[in-house]
Amino acid sequence: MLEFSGIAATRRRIAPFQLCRPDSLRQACESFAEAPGDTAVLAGGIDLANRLKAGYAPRRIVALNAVKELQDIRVLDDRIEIGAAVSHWQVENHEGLKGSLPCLPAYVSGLGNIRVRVQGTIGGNIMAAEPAYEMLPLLGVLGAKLNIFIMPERRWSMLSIPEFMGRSPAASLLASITIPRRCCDVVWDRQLRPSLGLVLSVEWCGDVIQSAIAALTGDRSGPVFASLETSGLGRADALASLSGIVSEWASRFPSIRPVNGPSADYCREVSGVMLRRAFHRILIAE
Amino acid sequence: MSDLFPLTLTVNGQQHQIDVPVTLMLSDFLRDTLALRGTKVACDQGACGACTVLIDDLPTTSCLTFAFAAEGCNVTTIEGLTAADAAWDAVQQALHEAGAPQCGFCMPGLVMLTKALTLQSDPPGAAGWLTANICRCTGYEVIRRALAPWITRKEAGQ
Amino acid sequence: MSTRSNRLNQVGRSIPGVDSRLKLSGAASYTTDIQIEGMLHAKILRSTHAHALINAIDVSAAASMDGVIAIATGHDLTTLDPYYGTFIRDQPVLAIGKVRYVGEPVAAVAAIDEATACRAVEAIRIAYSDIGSVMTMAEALAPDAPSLFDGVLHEHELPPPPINSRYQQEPAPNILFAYDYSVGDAEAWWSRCDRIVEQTFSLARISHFGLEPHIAIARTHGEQAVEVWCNNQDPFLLQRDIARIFRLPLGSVQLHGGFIGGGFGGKSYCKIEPIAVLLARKAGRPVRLALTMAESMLTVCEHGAEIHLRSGVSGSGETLVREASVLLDGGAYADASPSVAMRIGSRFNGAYRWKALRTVVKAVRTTTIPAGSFRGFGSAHVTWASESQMDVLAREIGMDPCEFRRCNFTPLGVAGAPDETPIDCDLSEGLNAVTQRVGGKGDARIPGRGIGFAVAVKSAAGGHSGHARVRILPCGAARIATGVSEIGQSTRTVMTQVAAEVLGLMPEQVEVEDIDTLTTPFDSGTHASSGVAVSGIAMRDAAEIARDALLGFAAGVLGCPQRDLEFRDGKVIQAATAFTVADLLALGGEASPGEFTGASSKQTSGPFFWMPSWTAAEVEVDRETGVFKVLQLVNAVEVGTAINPQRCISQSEGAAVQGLGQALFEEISYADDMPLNAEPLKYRVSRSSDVPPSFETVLLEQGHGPGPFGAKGVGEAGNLTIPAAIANAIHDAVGARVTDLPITPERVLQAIKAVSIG
Repeated sequence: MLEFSGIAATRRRIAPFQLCRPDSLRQACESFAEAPGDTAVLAGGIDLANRLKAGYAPRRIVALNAVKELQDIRVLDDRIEIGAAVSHWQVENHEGLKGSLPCLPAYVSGLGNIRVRVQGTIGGNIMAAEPAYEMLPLLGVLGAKLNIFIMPERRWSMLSIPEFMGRSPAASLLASITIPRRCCDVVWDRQLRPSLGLVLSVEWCGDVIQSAIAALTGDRSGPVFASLETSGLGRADALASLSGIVSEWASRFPSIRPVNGPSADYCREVSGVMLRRAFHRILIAE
Repeated sequence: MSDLFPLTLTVNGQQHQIDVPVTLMLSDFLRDTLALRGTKVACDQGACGACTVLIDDLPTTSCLTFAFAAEGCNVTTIEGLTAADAAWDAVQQALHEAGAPQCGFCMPGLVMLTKALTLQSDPPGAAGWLTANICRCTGYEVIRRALAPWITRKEAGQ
Repeated sequence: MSTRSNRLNQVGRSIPGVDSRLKLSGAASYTTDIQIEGMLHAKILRSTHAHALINAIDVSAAASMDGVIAIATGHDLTTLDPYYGTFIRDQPVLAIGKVRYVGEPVAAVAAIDEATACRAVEAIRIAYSDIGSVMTMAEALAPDAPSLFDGVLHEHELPPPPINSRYQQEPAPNILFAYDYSVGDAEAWWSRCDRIVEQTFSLARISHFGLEPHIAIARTHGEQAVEVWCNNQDPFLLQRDIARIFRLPLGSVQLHGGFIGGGFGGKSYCKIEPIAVLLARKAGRPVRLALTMAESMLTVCEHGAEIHLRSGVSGSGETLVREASVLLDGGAYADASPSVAMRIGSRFNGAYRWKALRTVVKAVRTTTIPAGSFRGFGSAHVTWASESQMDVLAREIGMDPCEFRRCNFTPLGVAGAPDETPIDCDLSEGLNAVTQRVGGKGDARIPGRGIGFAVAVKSAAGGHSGHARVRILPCGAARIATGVSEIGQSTRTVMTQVAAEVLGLMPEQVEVEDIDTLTTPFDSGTHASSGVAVSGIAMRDAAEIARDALLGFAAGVLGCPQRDLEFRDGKVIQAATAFTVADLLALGGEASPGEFTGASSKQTSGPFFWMPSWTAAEVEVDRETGVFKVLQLVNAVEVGTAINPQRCISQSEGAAVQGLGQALFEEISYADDMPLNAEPLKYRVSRSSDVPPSFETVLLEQGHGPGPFGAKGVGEAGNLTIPAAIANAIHDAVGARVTDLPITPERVLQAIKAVSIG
């Protein structure tokens, strides 16, 4: 991670590459599979452009902007399907999402800045594997699954976020993200980004907590997740024992080690505070 | 030698058909190929937004966008904001009257960002758009003052 | 009888910048935009080691690449005078024999395009052997620490030590410069103090972060002449450096300067320009060396520092004695460290009078980015420590922090320390201006909220030489020339207004020439806020001389006393008749001069004026996380006479927001010898969302400025007081004292806990 090559990163330095512009997902996978270790995928291009400027020199780049299957947002009865090449801007403005899963466009509208949201894609945000990037923690707490073409097996796989993060970073091509539609309250705390961030989702069955899961961002290896142990907890009971519940819950997060910024001790202490406040917000909401 | 891409696009209302290297960034296509040097490249990492142009009316980081990725698109640069009769865009006039430019290096990108804002009918978080671009000289206040009419309007959903 | 009124016409007008149209339309040309026919493109190979010997450099693979025209390394410097530095010249144009920081330029390639140059740089092989880094001042000063220079005394141009001080070059290993300032009998006064406070403060190293990176284009004319286009703030100083380094006659080094995309001191003094010249001489073709912003961040920064400050007061609230011991992290090379050290050393009195002062400053060498000139030139360091401690002192004796300051302010017309020029501003007025505007109304104190104050006084514009030239043309318009660089501080606009005022012209009738050392009058550099105050005097005087030359000529031609004539709107007015300049020149016949020129200069020594600034800040602190919000900032600056009020305010606002960055998050960090965030994507600076919801700047004009029409500069006011005002506000809110910059939530939380424990 701490690379300094002695040579300036600049767009002038981008090494020649073969450009492929498939117009179907099948074609995209084929192009990618021919040389997965030496092929880069271009969606929005923000992260790829910076990597190329820093000297990354793949032989081939597969541009996805003409692959229609990757540009769709589908709102179905039990789930949302979002193509990997859908931009953040499209998500934040999508009326169907605002109606069916409002936390998603609301969260995305605060991601990065307008230039990043116009150009960057949901899939690109996931695949960049940058510790501070914000889609993985949200998708993780929503129980999303990634429809991903993995190599060298050359097959499609539906991976949960923890499964995706648990894989070694072998070459793969993300096609879509599936988010189940559940009765969830989702809140987030971005005050300390990029050093430390929190996303919390509580799934209800009436006034009883089905499940609750929180994600913390800031660790150099990506978001870390922890679930509330006790399900079947009622709203009132949860409020009554809030401190104890949160204390136990927060203790199950692995240590957050930011690349640059606050200490692990600070992150541990403050993430507990953030979790308690976020949980409290959900518990007292109507 | 880099592969060439047959690029067709519109820049400031003018159609272009040029073969460009696939490695060419839009910022350099504009500055070097078309000699439109108003667009500046500052950080070359996408952090500062000095290189902001409009693609299909949306603010785009031209130092992170390949020229080929603008195929078939409408690109507007700072040079394109001046009307045929040399009248300035209202955003430029407002920034001028407020005395905004200091060193000026961020200004073309900032003008394009705010121009894009004025073209949206009801964008969410419009007032937050300004955070996309860095200015090291002005402290943003003079810019906010100049753009207050639009930002207020956007927040009111006009 | 003069018909001219005393009312000012152009001075005091908030006109838009004269370069505003160019900058808003994209037509403004920066060095980045210049194309010189046949120019090659250069890239630098930088050290990846913090402290290492260079055992071998193999450029063979790079040299054999198509399109590579010239390669330069330290071996090419043997016939030159290859070192530069503001006073102490220890920095080589390219590394010679060893490298002293990660990022140091080691080799440079000129090729037909940047892509080729990059590929060539990648192909250069350097063999290093590490000799042990010293990444912090503590490491550098430890016994047996590896030494960056082995006792070498470099060439220098150190001025004689200012009064009341001594200095020493290289007093000990890894100490570049030590400065000692003393007035009064500190020992005697310590024993008379009723309260003594002793604290240690620190500041992190920060980056200038101007948006246009450093760039130079060099074109040789034979062996003995070179022409350079660059964005250096101090072209005439750079001209001297290039002449000296390459052993050229001064007159055959020509520098061109235009708009600069942000300076803040980061483009002051010699930087990477000689590398472009070196390559141009080797290649026999023009060479453009354009850095990236990340490379600029590796070129120069602002000093980190540790300050041990001890102050003593009487029970009745009189400031008595202060001793400061400062370690300045100068990085690997001297750059401007000696002069920053001297400025810090002599200014710990701040805005107050003391019976005795004693300061010791050591500029320490570390194997890190060289530190140099940065807006404030050491005043940020002094103000952070001084103003934080003033608050603590006030609370020690149970006095209101503002009342305590007022009682001890140096009064108008009085010297703040022996042998200083008297203070030329009313410091209480500024403090009142911010205290009146800060905070909510009513007595109810909202828990977690607090208000803090800070006052800074920067000595400005001393040791400057500024020349100007004004030409009145036959059309009645004027062309003005000044060696002050336009870095965004609106020098072109202000100089235009000054000249227009004297010449009775509208600003549109005045044109400012680009800088060309061949034709532009000399200026000793765009720094120390000397543009308006010093070079502006030269401009005013030059305009008067040109005007008087015209009116003298006109009087001769018209056969009337000169006092009957006035120059207004480009015409000479006699009673009710207006003559164009062209008319008069025609009347003059063969002896007509053709145009009218005035030239003048102004030199200063010692502080020429004092630049005060005041800040009041209100914050709200979250006790559980240390996260705090700055709710309100009120800033005041005092400019003598505001030639352009709006631009004074905008510049102060910009300075304040830059100071906010230093206060809250700016810091260049290292881990394992490597810079962690010396690139724009990773280095946080203020964005529009960081500006407090209530942010106000008060512009005071107390009329004591020495510049034209009573003006002072304002370039280094606005940023200095922000960090201390915020720290004082946090203390007011939750009783917790943060003494290290940046003020991070973690530091606030630690300070809160320290209070509960203690």
